[in-house]
Amino acid sequence: MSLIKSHPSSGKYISEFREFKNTIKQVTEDHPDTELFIISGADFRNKLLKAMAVLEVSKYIAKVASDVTSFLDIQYASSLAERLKNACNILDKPNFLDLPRSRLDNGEDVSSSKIREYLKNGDIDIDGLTPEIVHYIDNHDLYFH
Amino acid sequence: MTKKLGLMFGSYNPPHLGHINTALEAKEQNDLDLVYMVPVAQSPFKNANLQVTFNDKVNMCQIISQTHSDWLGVLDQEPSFIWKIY
Repeated sequence: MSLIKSHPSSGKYISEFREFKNTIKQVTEDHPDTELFIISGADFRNKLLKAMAVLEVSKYIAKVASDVTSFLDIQYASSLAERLKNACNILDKPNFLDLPRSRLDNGEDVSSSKIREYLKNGDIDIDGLTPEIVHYIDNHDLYFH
Repeated sequence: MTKKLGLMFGSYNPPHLGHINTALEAKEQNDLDLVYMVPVAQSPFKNANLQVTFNDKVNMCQIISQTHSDWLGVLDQEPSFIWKIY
């Protein structure tokens, strides 16, 4: 526990990714008859899973630390080990789908960062932006500075 | 019958037609019934751009998804979703 607590990034990992987990939980509750899929790139997925594992494992380590006397009970220790194993299995739980490449109808790649660059240069005639989005950006004075 | 729902997390800063094509491709390849765009206040893997608020992103996602409302929606329950990777 102290190792996890003392690691400079552990608390941030846990609090920030708890939000993601809560979102998934909320959507699952709101759509009970729905199978959920997370559409993401590989980079996003790997980092997300790592953080989720940190969160889960930390939770169980905290449980051990707060209940250390019970830990001496061999049955309790076995059950805890099993729960910890199950917690780590969260890595397999979400259904992940590969994120297809972001392309326009003409096959050209498109990215928000490229679009922001164009907008910053004052160009609003950009493939990939709808007139309604351009209108919103213009009205709210976004990206032009 | 169980429906299949895809959640497409992203910074959507701004959302564009490539996002719509990506969502459509994911839907068709995986027989999804619905796809939700899930704008996050700040992508965990990108530098902050504080000029555009979370509400702006949600509004723009709603605008761009309007013409596909039979299969594409926007999830807007990520009000303080600030991710960073260290």
